[in-house]
Amino acid sequence: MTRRRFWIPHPGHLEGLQQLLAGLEDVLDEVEAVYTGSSPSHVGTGRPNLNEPERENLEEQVETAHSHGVMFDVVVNTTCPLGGKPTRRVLDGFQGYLERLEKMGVDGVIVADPWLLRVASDVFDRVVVSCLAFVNSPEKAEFFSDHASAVTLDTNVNRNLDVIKAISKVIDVKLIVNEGCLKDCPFRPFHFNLFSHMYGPDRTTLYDDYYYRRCMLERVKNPELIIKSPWVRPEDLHWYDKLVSGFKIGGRSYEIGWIIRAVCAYVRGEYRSNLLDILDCPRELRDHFYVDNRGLEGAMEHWAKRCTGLCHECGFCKDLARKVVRVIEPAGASPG
Amino acid sequence: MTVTEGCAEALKAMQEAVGEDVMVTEVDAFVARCGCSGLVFMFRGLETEDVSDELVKTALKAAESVGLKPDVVYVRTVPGTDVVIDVGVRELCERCSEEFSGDRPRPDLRVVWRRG
Repeated sequence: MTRRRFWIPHPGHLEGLQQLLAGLEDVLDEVEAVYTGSSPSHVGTGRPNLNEPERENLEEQVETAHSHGVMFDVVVNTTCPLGGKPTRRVLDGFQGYLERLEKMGVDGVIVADPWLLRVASDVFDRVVVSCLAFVNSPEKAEFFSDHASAVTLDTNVNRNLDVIKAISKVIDVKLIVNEGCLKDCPFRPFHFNLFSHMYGPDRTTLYDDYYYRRCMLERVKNPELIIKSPWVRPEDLHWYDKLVSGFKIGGRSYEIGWIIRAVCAYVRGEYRSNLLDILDCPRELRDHFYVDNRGLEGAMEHWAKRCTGLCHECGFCKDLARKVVRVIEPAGASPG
Repeated sequence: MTVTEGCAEALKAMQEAVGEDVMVTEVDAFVARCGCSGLVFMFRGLETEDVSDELVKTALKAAESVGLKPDVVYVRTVPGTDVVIDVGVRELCERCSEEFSGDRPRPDLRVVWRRG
């Protein structure tokens, strides 16, 4: 069997990393690297960033990861690096930040913006294109292949093995497996742009998050969208073993205990409960819905061989949702 | 005692515990969909170094007075700072017990008391 390599999330604090590595001791041989968000004082990222990695002894964290034989990557995948500021000033700040990361021993960076990727490639050999660059074809992968060492696929093509195979001929491919976002999400670029500002130097605040509310609303009304989300079950990784060089597990904003559960499920290739427990999706969704992972056995066969993406003409996911998705009774609702 | 009466008493007791340099702006009681329940004390002017044993005891006592059996008391901070947003006293559901392990389950959360 092909040896799988996993790329796992790290919330960014030293105690968390120590707890994470200890909790994953039995499976660390399969872990290629941890990744964490960049410092919001320097550059934004596509996910909520709950700490300041530099303030949190980043150098010591890198040493800790290395002492366990695990690489340490930093995500700098802002989708709006300029933010209205002069290019030269942003460039100087970004270069300086990357050089400090490199001196601390950071192994690589994950970048979405093509300009920042070009700059990063002067500092790091290991530069991975973020899923927020939306690489969904070999032609698009070509644009990045001169300066990147790998691409993280646009998750919308996760179940299209022909496209993945074609991209893998151009460049190394990383696949996000526990994707919990909507397939063909209309909010995705805008939502991540919002995150890039909220968790970057702009420190933008907002009263509420329209994209998040709509994302939840759509799925509560149409649970079939949960099935259409381009996740890959732990049991189905074998479909990708010859196509991708690494499996990325999303969830760097979650608690350590959650991350350990999700990583163990994917490394062991098995999860016997609510699939939403290990997907990188809003917590509220898994509190509300139960998706029986056992009931999804065989679905990948359909997606890999027969899915056209023309959902209105098919109905497979809709039928499957009726069988495997149920609403969970609130915990406190039972008498006694 | 009603929910609001319980929260009002908790707010008063906490304000007395932290003194006049800190403001307790709100006390919320909650039941989460996952099965957790608890009280949340919101502060202005509190930093992590100010979280005293007395504050923790007051939070626990308030939670017990409204019928909770607390498993953890935790502090949530503004990311990257020591500024406290709120202090939660929580009776954990089974799944959150697993996720809420360690002293800092997330960078912005610090567990300051756990049932022994």
